[in-house]
Amino acid sequence: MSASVNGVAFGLLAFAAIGGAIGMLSSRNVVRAAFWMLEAMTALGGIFLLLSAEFVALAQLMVYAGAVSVLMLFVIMLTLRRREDAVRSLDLSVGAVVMAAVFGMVIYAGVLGYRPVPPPMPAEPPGVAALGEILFTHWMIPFELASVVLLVALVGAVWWAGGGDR
Amino acid sequence: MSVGLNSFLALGAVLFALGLYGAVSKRSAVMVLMSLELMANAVNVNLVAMSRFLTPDVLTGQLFAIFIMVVSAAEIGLGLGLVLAIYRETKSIELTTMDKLKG
Amino acid sequence: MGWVAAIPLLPAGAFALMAPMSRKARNAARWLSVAAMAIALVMSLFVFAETWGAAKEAKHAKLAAASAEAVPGESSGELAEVYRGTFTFGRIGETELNFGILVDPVSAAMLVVITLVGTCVQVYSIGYMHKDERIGWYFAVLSLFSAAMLALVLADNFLMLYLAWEVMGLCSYLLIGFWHEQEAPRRASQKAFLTTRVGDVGFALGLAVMYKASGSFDFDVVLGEAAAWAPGVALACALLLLFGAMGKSAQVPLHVWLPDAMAGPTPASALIHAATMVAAGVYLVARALPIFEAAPAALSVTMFVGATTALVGGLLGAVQHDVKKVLAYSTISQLGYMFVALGAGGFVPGMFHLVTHAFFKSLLFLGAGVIIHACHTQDMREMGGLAKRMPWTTATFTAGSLALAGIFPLSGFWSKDEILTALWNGQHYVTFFVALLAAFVTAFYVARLWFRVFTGYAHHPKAKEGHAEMLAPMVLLAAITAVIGFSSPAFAGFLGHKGHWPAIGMAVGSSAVALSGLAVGWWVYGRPGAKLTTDSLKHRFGYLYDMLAQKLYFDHAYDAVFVRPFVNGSDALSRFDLRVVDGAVNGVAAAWNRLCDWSWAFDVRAIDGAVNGLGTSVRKAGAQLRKLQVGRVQVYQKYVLGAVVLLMLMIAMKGA
Repeated sequence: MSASVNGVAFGLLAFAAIGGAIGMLSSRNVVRAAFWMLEAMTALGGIFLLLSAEFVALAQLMVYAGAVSVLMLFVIMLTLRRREDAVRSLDLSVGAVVMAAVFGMVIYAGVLGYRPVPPPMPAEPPGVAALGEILFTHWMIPFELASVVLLVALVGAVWWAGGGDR
Repeated sequence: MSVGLNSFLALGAVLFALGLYGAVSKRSAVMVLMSLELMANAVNVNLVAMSRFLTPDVLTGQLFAIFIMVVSAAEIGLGLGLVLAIYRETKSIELTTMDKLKG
Repeated sequence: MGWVAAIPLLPAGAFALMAPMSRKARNAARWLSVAAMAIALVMSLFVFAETWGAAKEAKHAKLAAASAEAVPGESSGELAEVYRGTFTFGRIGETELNFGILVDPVSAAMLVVITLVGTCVQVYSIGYMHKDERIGWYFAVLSLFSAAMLALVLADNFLMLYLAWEVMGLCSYLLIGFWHEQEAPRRASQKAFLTTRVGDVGFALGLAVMYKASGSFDFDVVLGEAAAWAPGVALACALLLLFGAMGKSAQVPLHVWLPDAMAGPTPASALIHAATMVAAGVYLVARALPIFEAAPAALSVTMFVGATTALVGGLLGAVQHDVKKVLAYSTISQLGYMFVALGAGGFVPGMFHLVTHAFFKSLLFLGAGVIIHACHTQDMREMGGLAKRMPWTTATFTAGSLALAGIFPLSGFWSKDEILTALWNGQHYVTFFVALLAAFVTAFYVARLWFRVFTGYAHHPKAKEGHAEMLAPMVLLAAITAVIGFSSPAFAGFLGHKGHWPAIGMAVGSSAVALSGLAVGWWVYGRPGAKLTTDSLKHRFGYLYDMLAQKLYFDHAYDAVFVRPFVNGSDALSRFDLRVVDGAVNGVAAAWNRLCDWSWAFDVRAIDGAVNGLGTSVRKAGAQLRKLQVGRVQVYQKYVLGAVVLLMLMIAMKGA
């Protein structure tokens, strides 16, 4: 494992991710926005793969590109009475642009000035097996808690969406 | 050509700022939730990149990214459930109409 | 030859460029798709030429080697590999994920077929779809489909093949449901997607078995090892792959989606549901043939499925009234022929029939498109007498029909003959006669279609010939159909087998069968004075006709066996939910309410008194602050964000 990664692949994927994000924010149609988000999420999956985090990449694809996108599309479908409702105004907000831009620039400047000392790189990336081992030994309790969180969220979401007034 | 940690952090920063803009400006609840997802993803990029370049032999960053995914999946489920519940009440998912807490 | 990778990437690029465009820009950019396909065609021809040369050299080398040994003669059937390149895009554990490209005679031949038919269809579509307001999207999806199909035939491993396979399924869904404003295309697209998905599950499981057995997806590794697998493993893998292929290639009993798929645009049907995508199943089985050969039972199953399909498809086609559905059932039947050939171990006949069928069936579909445009109906009972009005269409359609029926010298004759020869030589006599019967039925419905559409009473005396850009591709395809048959032995040699000219006895026999089928068709439908109704047939074969007209009850059976129990099961689950789950939740809620009541009582008595005094003073302060609270969450969000930005700026200043 080297201290840097393929720049061409990174450039393409970063372009796709940022392009997807911009497409999502600048599309008037909510359905299209959801598909742009899907595109950005898929590109980020590629980024994770580039960072030799295969499991995170697969989870990214399944959770974001798969489940979350489908959920979004379902809610869009359920909350649209007519096809035309999908088209909305762009909601441009100068204040938000300025604040987000300042925020982004400050962090960006900080990032560019950040010069960490690279540690010695191991010959091989740790891989999925190592991740699984740590996850089920050292991180056992957080892992189980995460499943409880998911269960609670599932029940809560069903309760809310299914008519909590019963 | 090859790139290191800083490029990834910069990508994360740009995505986070974009998500932030969307979360603040969009009036559709669904669009806001999408923007939130984008921000969570930007954070994940940072975490995984840090893990890859700074602590290559321990996987803490990746594990955190996974936990963030769990939490944001839960969040999106609840968020969309809420959106549906609100939609049933008010027949609208505009955030501007949700001002019952107005002082 | 690294530029081979550009062949699928060109149409993929066209899709990537067109997909994000606005509808207007996309409609204007349709030439992009056509141009990408045309360039891909030229490149494919170069690849083919290069592969042809390499295959010839390999053959000479092999012959030299063979003559040195004692036994010359039958070549082993190994394919001359021309180019291979892999691009690793990721690793999971020990396994590398590869995009691999493999150019050998099979893929080179498929490349030419796909790009040639693809280009014809795209040029034709410019004329056919010119009035549609979403023509740009149509071309974009057509491009994506072509890219996936080209990637499928270039793949050097099963995983990439599977990826392309699924993308094709998606495109098929999108194109069948292209006119999704109408009910029928929408339903048909879902039916097609779900039915092929049933097969795809088999394919995926087959891949899992394959990976378990050999730890790789590479054609080389897997197919090289297949002979050494345990027979059970090979059988399971082969049957699962076959199941996937059956879904994609619409073999009985998974054929039900293809006739409905005709709700899509006709040129798309020509490309996807006649020439290329449905043939992908045949291609898969042909590629994986060593696995099938390792488990002879799988070969028998393949042959059985193919023979059943060939006959059933033909019979069902003979009672349809919709022109496109007749062609769809005919496609099913011809795909069955290919499976029969593969099941008999006839790699070359199967592939050759795939190639010839791609040309003549897409030709027939394109012709049907012109006819439908002219008559504004798909029901052939309302057509007739078109021969005088549409000479070009009639000529090309006739060529396609005769090829389908298997009449010398058109292409269908040669490939069908090869299949029958392979069956006879393999001593599969029962299958041979079933195939012969299917050939007879094929000739019959071809005659029925032809006489109904082109002769007899003219329902549409003002029908007009199609545009030039629609006719030109048809003429090209007809020309190919007319001559390609003569390449039959050369094609076999190209694929590394010894080619033969058809034996005279077989040729005469199959021609006689085809001609008698045509004659019967003419007697019933074309004879002067023949009543152009189905009544006479209906009366004579009442029960049989009903059965065929109801598509042998496949749809009814699926509805009763799968769809309705599923709906009933959902209902039962919902009742369970209401009674058991909700009961439990309500109980908990009631207990909680009780607790809250107690807490409330305590609240009112003990705490309120103390708090009220404090409360009034806070309320006064709050009255001032409430002006800040507009109640809209995003305004609060802006406050927070502003504060954070300020804080960050301060920190940054301080640090600087």
